[in-house]
Amino acid sequence: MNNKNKWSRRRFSKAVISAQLLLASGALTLPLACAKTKKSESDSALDSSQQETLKFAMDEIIPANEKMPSASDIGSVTYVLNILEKLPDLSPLFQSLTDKIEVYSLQNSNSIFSDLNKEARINLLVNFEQTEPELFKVLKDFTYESYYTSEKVYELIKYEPYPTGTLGPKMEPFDEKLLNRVKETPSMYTKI
Amino acid sequence: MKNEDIDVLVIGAGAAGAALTWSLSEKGVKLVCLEQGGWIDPSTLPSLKPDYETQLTREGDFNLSPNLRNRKEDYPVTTAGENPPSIMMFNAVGGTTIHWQGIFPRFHPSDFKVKTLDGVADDWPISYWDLEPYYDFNDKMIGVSGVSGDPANPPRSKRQTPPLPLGKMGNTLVKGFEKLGWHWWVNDHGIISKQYKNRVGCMLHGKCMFGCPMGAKATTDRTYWPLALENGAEIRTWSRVREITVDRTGKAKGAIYFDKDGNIQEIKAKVIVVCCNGIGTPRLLLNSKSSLFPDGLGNSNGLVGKNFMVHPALFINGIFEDVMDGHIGPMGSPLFSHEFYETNKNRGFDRGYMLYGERTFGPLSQAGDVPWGEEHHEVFSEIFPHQVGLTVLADDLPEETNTVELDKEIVDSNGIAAAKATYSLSENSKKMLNHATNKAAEVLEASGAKRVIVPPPTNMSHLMGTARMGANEKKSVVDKNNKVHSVPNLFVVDGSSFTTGAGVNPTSTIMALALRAADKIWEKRNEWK
Repeated sequence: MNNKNKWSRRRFSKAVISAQLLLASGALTLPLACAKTKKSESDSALDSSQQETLKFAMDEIIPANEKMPSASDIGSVTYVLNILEKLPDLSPLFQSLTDKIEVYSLQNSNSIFSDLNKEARINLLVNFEQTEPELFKVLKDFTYESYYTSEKVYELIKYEPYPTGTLGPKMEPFDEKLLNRVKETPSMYTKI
Repeated sequence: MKNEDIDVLVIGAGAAGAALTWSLSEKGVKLVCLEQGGWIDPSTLPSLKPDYETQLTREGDFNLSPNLRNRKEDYPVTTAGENPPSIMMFNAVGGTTIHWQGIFPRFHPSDFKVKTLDGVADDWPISYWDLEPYYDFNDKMIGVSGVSGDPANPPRSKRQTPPLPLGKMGNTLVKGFEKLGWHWWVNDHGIISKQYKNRVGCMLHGKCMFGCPMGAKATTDRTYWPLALENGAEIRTWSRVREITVDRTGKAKGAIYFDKDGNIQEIKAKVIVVCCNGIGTPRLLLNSKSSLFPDGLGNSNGLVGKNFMVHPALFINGIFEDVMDGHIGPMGSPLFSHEFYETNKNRGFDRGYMLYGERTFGPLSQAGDVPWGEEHHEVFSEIFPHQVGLTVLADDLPEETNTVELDKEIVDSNGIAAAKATYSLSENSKKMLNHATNKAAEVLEASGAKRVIVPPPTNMSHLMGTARMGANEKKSVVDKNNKVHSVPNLFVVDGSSFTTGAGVNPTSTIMALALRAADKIWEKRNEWK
């Protein structure tokens, strides 16, 4: 929100009343924000080779195993592209990230990153983490963010986000009998 | 400048500003509140979205830190010291209650008399019993969930609504505390579990820190402000105060502020109350320089901004074999222990700390420390959803070297000097945290944890102490009624007026102080000119 989109007290009151009614009903279900695919390569902030580098790097950060998909399997590259569309100021950061990975790859192996074998890719990223910690953090944080906001991952790890506006979780009410022992103890605070 | 004939000007619309404004508005006082933020549109709250956790990991409108929100109404806070404090606050109608967890304990009587009892820091010039009626009244105003009868605290009236559920993680911790025979109790929350007044009860979605569109959490835009406005109080949003002005006699005259269009305005009032939190308040006082107060308003003894307290903290986690679902339920704390709250000299430190069960955020936050690469899934599946959080909140005693100052280089969007917060843990705090680490691990292990993770110390971002209350004018900034010593009609009412930090969350005490200060201001109404 900024000053151009100011909320008056009156608008606030109206919104509160209608939101309470709607939310208390549990009827409002909001769409998951994650992992929607809408970008094509041609109108992206990253070109196809940069996307390829990002994909292979993200898949070493979170690789697949027998139960879980890799980062790119759940659309992590598309997730980043969608963010770059909304926040174009971040584009140079990701371009720098992918370009530097390729520079490292060429310098060390005379090969592009995606052509390296898995062990070489991991070694490169370990080295990258030590020498370019801030850029590596961008790679890791956005990989994790794309993965752990993914509806598909939520299902696999059995996470129900219960966004406000949906019905909340069922929880047993507090059983006051649990406090019986403590209730019998003498007062513990300093009386002054 | 318009001649508005305002009785009381309140600066800041958070927990304190709201309670104080309402209380005085009930008496027919003509009030204006200047707030640098606006009303928050509930439909924009991140808690409505499944990816709410991204608000923790990168810049966004609702990041907990003003430095990462970049809203125009936020001001930068730079940090320094051996333990640079994490900064959390919100600038809007409702203030930091917008993203507060709602944990609502009270200080102990001993917290007000630490010099008398333990020979450390200073006594408050008021006692618990001076505040008790205001604690109680505030609870009734906003609605508190919980159970009365806790032997670790003085008696209090029946809570307005039943406790929030413990959940699997809470019940697991109960087993640990029971096994050790230690004190525990369900936490009071400023979150109603059932309908109270015109607000609906909590539906347990558990995103409290990312806004409560339901209104179950007692944000002051939903509790005090509507009532204050009905009484005729006025709130001017998008109004950022640059300085408080004084007349030739040293009385506060009014304030100069930037309005919503960035134009400079001046407002006059008979009484001025600053409620801008433990960073915003000293920043404003230090920015209010004049020939009579060249070092800042109320700062003739140099104590404005000194004695900054934030509550040292540890967020300890136990990893269990069983599913704990620690992320399910209201985000605050299902239960707490004051087993180690009061001073015991045999422990090697003064004062004490609170342990409290704390729910976790969702999977993105829990993945944060999980290593990348081949072992990622294995390590993640070990901790999610198997974690139980046990937080240590340590008493914070004032140190003059912990400070809030004006940053010499950085300014906000109106060109006003930003704040710089400096904090280092005292030796007493370090010893206390070491003790608490062992005790927290003991509870978690008694509860069945197979592994305990102890991260480095951090703090709770409770902003306190920078315009401290005291009886001695040389050692404090405000008196027992929250009036600034050297300025007869200027009051400071927020966490900055705390003499000591105690070992509990501060909001209920801030609000009780605000209601009490309103009464004290009203009692002196014949002196308003």
